[in-house]
Amino acid sequence: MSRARLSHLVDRQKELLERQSLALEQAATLRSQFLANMSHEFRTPLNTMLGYTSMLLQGVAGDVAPPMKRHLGRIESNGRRLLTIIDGMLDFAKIEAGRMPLHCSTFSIPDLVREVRAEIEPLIARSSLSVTLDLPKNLVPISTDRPKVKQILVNLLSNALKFTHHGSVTIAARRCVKDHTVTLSVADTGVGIAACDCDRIFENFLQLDASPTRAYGGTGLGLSICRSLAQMIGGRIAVQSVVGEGSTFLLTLPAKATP
Amino acid sequence: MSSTPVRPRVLLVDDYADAREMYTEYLEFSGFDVIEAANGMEALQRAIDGVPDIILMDLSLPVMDGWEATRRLKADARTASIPVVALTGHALAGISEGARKAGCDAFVTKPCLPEDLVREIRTILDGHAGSQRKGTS
Repeated sequence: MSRARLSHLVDRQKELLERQSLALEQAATLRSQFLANMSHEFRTPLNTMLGYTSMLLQGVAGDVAPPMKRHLGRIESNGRRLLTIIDGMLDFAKIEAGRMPLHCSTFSIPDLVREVRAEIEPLIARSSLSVTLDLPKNLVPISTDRPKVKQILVNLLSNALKFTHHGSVTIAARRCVKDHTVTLSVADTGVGIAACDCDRIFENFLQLDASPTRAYGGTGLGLSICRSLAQMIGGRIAVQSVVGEGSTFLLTLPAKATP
Repeated sequence: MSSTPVRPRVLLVDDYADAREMYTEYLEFSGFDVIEAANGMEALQRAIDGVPDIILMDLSLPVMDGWEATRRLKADARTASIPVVALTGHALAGISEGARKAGCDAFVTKPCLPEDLVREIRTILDGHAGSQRKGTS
């Protein structure tokens, strides 16, 4: 084969690859846009449903009898659950499209942990678990994206409650002066995760039990979103677990502001 | 106590009737006076006639969109001082900068629950009343 012919072939292959890469990129952008649009389309009617439910519960349309209140409460809690799933899809789309901005501030870790606990209180009340906080005095304020840390903690705590049937959940914080880091941990006495699955659980859409008879629901986005959010703020997330004994999820964050 | 008028008047601009009616009902229940508009053009007229204390502006609107309506409100001496809160459903970044450039004073991400909207409005009205007092004294 002549040198000129060979060079021509290489050029053609190169062009083909470039075209394919462009097409892939466009498909990814389209998918993110589609997910963002869909989640907005879902949110709009759901918001009206939640809004009117909340108004009924507040008595805007008159007094509501206790049994009706209970039913309305169920509509509200299930609607909120649906909203959380939709928000997860939107976050995933934003992360994929690289359109998740950072908003840094300096805040107290104990305050944040208590806020997260208060937010999850309805879930805790429904479970038979005790949730304890372990927050030492030497924690200094941290500078990072507070809403993202909160979102990760809410997710880890919700997971701990979901996969624990008896025992306890402990949220702890530890400062490591030497490494300039703070580690937040959520430890449960739940079902646990096999060692071979400990890395896989952070993958997109992965559910360890995807069978039709699976015992736990979910979209498989929670932990992958947590991992992406942690990386975005210069942190990392890890898990230690023993099947049948429980899991501990660790979120390690730089204790100094990320540049 | 809040330094806002006893029954502050809100101009609510949204083309989605179900959401508009829901917010109106809750705002009235919460002690506000409400006037409504379904597009940007109507919003301009209502703002001049009704002299609201605050305007809640959806950004994607038919006839005239919320960005253009806000620009015109801010360019008109009769309405320039009324705080405009953008109700934005575009959860992707980049939208808020455009709205701020058009003159919006604050943002509320839509959809939001009626009670969250009322809380935001109270915060903004209190802040605005404070800065107005400072400006004139």
